[in-house]
Parts: sequence; C-alpha cells; structure tokens
Amino acid sequence: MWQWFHRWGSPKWFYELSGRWLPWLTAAMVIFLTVGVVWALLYVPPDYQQSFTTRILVIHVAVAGTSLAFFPIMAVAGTITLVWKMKMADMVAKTVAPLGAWFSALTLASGSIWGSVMWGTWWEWSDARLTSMLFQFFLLVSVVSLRSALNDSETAAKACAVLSIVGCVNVVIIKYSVEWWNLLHQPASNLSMESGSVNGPEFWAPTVIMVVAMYLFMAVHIMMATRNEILRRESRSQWVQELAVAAK
Amino acid sequence: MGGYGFNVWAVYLLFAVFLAVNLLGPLRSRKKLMKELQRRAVLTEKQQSAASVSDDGMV
Repeated sequence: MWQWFHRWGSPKWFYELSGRWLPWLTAAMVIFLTVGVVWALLYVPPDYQQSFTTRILVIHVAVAGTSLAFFPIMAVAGTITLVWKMKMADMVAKTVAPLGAWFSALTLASGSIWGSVMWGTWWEWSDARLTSMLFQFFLLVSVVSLRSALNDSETAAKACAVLSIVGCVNVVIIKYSVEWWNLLHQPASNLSMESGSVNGPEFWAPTVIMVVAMYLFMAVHIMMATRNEILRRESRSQWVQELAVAAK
Repeated sequence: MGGYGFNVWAVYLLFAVFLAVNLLGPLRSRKKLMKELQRRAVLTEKQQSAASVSDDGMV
C-alpha cells in the first residue's frame, strides 16, 4: 500500500497516468455537459411557482454543490504536504484553489440572478448561506494571493495548507446553515420519484447529470493545470526536456 | 422562458464563459510552457556544442 502511495508522489508517474485518463474524462465531461444543458434548456418544465427559473437552478445547484468540495480537497492535499512533504500534493493544492474561486463566484452570480426575480432581491446580508459562500470566495482568493505573495515557496505551501484546513470549517457552515437557521435561502427540497410532481425527476435528473458533469469538469481542469505545474517545477529534469523536444 | 428569459440566458452565458476560461486557460498555458521549454532546449544544445568546439580548439 505504501508503494501505491509513494507512486502518487512521483510527478512523472502522475503526468503519464493523467495523460492516459484525460481523453476519456474529457469525452465523458462533454457528454454529460451536453445532455445536462440541452435537457435543462429544452425539457425542464415550468414550476408552478418559479416558472422557468428552475432552469437556472440546474446550473446553480450543480456548481454550488461542487464548490463545497474544494476546501476539503485542498485540506487533504495540504495535510499530505505538511506531514509527508509530498510535492505532488502541493501542486494539486495550488491548482485547485483558483478553480474553487471560479466555482464560488458562479454560485453567487447564478444564485443572485435567480434571487433577483424569485426573492425580489439580488443579495441579503442577513442570510448565513449567502454570506458564508461569499466568505468562501474571499478565502479562496486569499489562498491564491498568499501563494503568489510568498513566491510559491515551501513557506507558501505550508501557509496555504493551514488556511485550507481552517477553510473547511466554513464549508460546514455553508452546508448546514439552512438547517440550523430559518433565514432567506431555502433548505434542500424534498425530491420525489413521481413523474409530474413538483420536485420530480424532470427537475432532479438533469441536475444530477449536471453535478456529474461538474465533477468531471473539475477533474479535467485539475489534471490539465497540474500537468502544467509539473512541467514548470520539473523543467530541469531529463524526462521533461525530452518531452518538450519530442513535442516539437 | 415565461418572461424570465434575461435571467435564464444570463446564467447560461456566465456558465459558458466559466467553462471556456477554465478549459482554454490550461491549454494556452501548456502551449506557452512547451514553447519555452523547447526554446531552452535549443539554447542548451547550442551552449553544449559551443563548449565542445572550444574544448577541441584548445592548444
């Protein structure tokens, strides 16, 4: 088992493995995205209260749900960096953060656009989920800035790791705020298996497809960005130089 | 879209931008990186061949 673990620490091994997986993951991502978006835009029926704005929720729910995965991923990668000093883990931690900021920003924007018509307001400071998601966005931007400010050094890796572990507390608040407090943002809907009912499969099926699409998209981006980071950090090694020459 | 067309399309447009930036961004970075690595490889080769010539030329 340790051999398997140590293999993941080899940038060359990760680069080669991810090179084999990327085409398949990309193809799967394209399929799920296409099916999800086409289904959402053409076939999701109007809700009895929300009309066609439920089509916004297909995107918003998928992006929001996936955005909660970023700090846990960064915390795990950060812990591996701190404990085992594995540079692969730090590379993943570095590439994950900017994408997390994008996910959080799109969650806020899509939710705000939906809320402007359904709640009658673009924003509500007294809502815990909204403000904690905004806080997550700022925290992710801080992680990216911190790494850059410390010149991507070993200190940067450690500092970002600690900040990522702390950021996980906020994820718990984002997730459970709608159950702990009765504020503006509604809690999770009770989904139904009955076709034609309010929260039936006509709504949740494209949402689930979009969630899968978002995780695939996350995996594709992280793999591409981490491969770039490997090329950057390992640029002096023989295998990278041979790769560059062969790619000419 | 039941009168909500602006809102629905605004979200899908933002979603398209989000996907495009985060898929094309790493691709562009990779191209730039590869060009730089190839440039460095050519430079190193030139330096190495220049060094070997001067070695031969030493009296």
